[in-house]
Amino acid sequence: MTASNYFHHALYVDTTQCNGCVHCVRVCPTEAIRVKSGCAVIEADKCVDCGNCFRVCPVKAIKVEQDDLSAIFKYSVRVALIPAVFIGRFSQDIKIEAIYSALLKIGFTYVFEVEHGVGVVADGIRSYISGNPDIRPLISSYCPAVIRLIQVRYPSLTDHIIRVKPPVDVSALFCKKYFADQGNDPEQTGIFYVTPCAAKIAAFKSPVGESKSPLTGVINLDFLYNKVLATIYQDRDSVSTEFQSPSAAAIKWSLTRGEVSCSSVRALAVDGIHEVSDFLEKLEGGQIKGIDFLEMKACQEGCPGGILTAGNTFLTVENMERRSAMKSHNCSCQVSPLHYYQGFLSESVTLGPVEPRSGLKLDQDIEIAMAKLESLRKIELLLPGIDCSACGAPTCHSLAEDIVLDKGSISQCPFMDLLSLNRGQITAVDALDHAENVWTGRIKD
Amino acid sequence: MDLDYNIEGGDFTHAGEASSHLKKILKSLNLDSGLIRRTVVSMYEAEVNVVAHAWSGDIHVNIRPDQIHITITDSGPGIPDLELAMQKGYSTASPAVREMGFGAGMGLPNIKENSDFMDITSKPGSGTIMKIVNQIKR
Ligand SMILES: Nc1ncnc2c1ncn2[C@@H]1O[C@H](COP(=O)(O)OP(=O)(O)OP(=O)(O)O)[C@@H](O)[C@H]1O
Ligand code: SF4
Ligand SMILES: [Mg+2]
Repeated sequence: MTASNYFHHALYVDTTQCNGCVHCVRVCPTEAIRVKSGCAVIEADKCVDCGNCFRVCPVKAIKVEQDDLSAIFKYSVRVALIPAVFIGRFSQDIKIEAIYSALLKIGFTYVFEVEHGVGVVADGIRSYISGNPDIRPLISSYCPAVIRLIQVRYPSLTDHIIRVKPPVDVSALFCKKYFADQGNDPEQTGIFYVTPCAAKIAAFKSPVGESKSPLTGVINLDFLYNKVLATIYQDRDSVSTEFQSPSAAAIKWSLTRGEVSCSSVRALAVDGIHEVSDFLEKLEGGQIKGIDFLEMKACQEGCPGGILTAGNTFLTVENMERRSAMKSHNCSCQVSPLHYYQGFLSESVTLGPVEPRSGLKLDQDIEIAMAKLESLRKIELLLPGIDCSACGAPTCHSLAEDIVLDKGSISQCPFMDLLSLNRGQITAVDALDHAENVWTGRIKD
Repeated sequence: MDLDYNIEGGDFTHAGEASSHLKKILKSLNLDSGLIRRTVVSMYEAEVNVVAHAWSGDIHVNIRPDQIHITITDSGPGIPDLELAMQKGYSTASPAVREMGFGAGMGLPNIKENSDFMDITSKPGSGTIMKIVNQIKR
């Protein structure tokens, strides 16, 4: 089994829409995208599902796979596991009760908020940090895009990842057990997570550190948001549904600093995939000292910046902060729904080891790799070094890398072709053919 | 394969760039990630020592299929008492350098811990040469 058919990706290129511009190529944090024959191609071994390509695509050709909502009706117990960011997506004029009842009208039989699982996770993180004093800093396992980035680009840091499952897994495990204990057939219980991003879909379909996800399926947040909104507007006098809100601190868990603010050790929060990448680069090089805990989220502002959260990130953040403030104001000291399952959940919260998945090597064999590196450096000296991406690769360096890996050709560079043309080594027709290989259909006579 | 870098004394903004570059190179050679980390951490500490304590320096890296050799040559005040300098916690870093988060006196001990071979020769008043060698196990 090769890595590429093992790692599931939730992002794909719609080849009918892609116009072969290089916006996505240039923002990919792992340089996983190339333009070939006029279309973007994502290399599965390198993709971490962060969604940066989705954000910048001017023609919406990067898609996120979507499961069919009707799949929920295969189950008699249908749980909507919603993250706080889903509620935060709605304007404050809409009552939370209305959102809950709309979800029930759509067909779920039960609505449960992911962040109820935060208490168990926070305890797990605290004891993991004190139980592993030799590994510093320890990195949160919350964001699956960050975990994948570490696997691909910073493999030596995989043992810094805190082996505690994220709140979504804890809440899903709780729901499974709770409904079984209520006498429901586990085969008939479907737990559907409403996801703010592609990374969480990938984490569900090919989990890291667990053999199987406790979820039954995922539903894209942007899709369900529209559906809930339409349901609320159709039926204004919605039934009021009783619900229990997670704690004030838990509501903010998915925001930047949400995890750090529950921590008593020296902790930092880093958000944005490029910022995370820069930080990990320095950390791996021994340049960062004295930090105990790192919260890292691939999206700016955390999950409100997720590609499926859509809407205005900052409004969502404000909605969530306000909800959290109101919750702490009217602290009714409710018992958490997870309370009676604390023991079971604390036992199941441990995550298995995260394996490295290096995507940077030139060859398995060091001597061959060294030879390839030597020629890579020679090729790089020939290339103009302007990183224009006209070759379909993000930088001159990455084209040189593609060439030594037999994945690219120097003739992809239009400047190199001009030189060859001038030297009489190729004809103008050859040069046009080469350009056509990269930019099929784009060069018009 | 040979790599060369220059280091400016006092240039804390760019300290670490040479070791970051070496890290990328080593990753492309598919070396063990622990070995890469140990090598890069050693080189980073040596790099910062030139920035913090010397006037200028050069780094020469030679990568062979079985070993990585790093030689850092600086012109600077040199190290008068090597045994003392090697002790954990010993530091002559200026208050300005300490304010930037350096000067814990852990750099040289850290290099020793992260390298298979380390050698320092120093001429007080003129400069220091540090050699670091790490073995590549296959
Ligand atoms: N290249 C050098 N030139 C001159 N003196 C040096 C050099 N490298 C180290 N030293 C001396 O050795 C001492 C110990 O070095 P070491 O790297 O262990 O600690 P540090 O640089 O003071 O602090 P830290 O590395 O923890 O930030 C330094 O304080 C300095 O006096
Ligand atoms: S920060 Fe949140 S929304 Fe963004 S990739 Fe990570 S888990 Fe998904
Ligand atoms: Mg030092």
